Amino acid sequence: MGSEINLVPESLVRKKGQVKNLKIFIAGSAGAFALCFVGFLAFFLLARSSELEVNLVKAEVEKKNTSIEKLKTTQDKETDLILRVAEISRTTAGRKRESIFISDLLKIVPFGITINKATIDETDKAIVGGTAVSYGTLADFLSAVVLSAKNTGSIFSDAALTEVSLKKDTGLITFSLEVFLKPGVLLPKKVLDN
Amino acid sequence: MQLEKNILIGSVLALFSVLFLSGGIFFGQKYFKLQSTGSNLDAEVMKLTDTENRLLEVNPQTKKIDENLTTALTSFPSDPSVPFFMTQLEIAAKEAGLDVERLSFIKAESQNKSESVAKKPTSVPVAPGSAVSETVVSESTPSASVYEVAVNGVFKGSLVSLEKFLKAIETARRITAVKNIKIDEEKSSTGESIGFTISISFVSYYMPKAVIAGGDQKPAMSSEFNATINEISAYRYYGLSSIYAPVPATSSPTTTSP
Repeated sequence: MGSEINLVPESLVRKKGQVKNLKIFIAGSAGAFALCFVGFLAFFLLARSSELEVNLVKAEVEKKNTSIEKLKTTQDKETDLILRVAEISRTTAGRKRESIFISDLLKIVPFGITINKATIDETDKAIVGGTAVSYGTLADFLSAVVLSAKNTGSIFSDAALTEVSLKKDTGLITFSLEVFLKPGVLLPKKVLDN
Repeated sequence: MQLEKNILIGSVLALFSVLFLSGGIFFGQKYFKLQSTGSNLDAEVMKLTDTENRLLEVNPQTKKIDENLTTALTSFPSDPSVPFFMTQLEIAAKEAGLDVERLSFIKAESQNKSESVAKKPTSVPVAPGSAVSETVVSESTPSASVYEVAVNGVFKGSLVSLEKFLKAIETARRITAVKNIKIDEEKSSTGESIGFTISISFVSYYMPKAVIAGGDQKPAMSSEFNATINEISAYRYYGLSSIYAPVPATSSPTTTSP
């Protein structure tokens, strides 16, 4: 049993070792390459799909924001409308209708009385001035106001003469009258009902 | 030669492995970042959907709201709209048979004016039938202010014409109140009555867009809302263009859409 004798030249043995190392290097590189490529591909595809998904969600957010903006405009309009109508209601309810005064006054002025002056303001009182052909006519006018006051549908509550004078040149009687109105009578009916 | 070729192949593979590794790390990071962004966006979408659903409850009424707001804006515009106001007075006076001697714009209360003088808190009714009651406006409720526009007019005509004119003003779309009327008989040189000189102080109103102070809280709708809308819709609209149109023979109130 003698020791084994290596007949392969030493240079060849070294070369064989180098080739073996090279094979290991190439195999390792190929393995690493395959692994990195697969990993890269997987993350690339995942990232791409997530990006598409996020873009879709972003588009949805954008769409919803636009829709909400539009809807908020409607809500703002509704708020504005409610407040505006409430103000209109309040204003019209407190608005006097002076046409009723003129209309009712003209109805009770007797023949022989000429109205030539009137002042109506926000109070429940009006000043009416004019001329009468006689004291009797003036008295008729006053009576008409007072009698009308007794009627529930009338707007007048009372009247008081503040000035009476006789114009010598024309023979006409000049007068000034304070006409008192029933409180709130010129306001719209619905407020009185309330 | 074969050995060198193999070394080259191995090196190229190693190089590409490094490149793909870097790329993988880059896209990996990007993926996780996008995942987190996606979760946040999903939560945002849910939140927005909630808001949208809540607002959608109002949406079916959009058309009606727009129509009613247009009508309300002709009664209470969002700015003084002095020409519109004066046009209404002029047309109504002419149609009633009054001669317009003078129409003077006096003033329009301004939003910049001291609040205690110009601002009036809105009166959103709190209970049915309480249209005239004032509501205390808290910081969190929508608030609105009404401002006055004053115009003085001098007209000539009869008392019957004045009555017609006042009736027309009372049923005119732009809400107008009469503050003062002064009537004086006008006489000719011979002393005969030739009609009356009538001076009237008018006030109209405007209301800038309501401001919602405390977020999107909606004010309570007045019980008289529909009645008021119907009432003002029936009022006659005196459009600016009407001033150039021929005056109708009769003065019966008709509603013209703006």
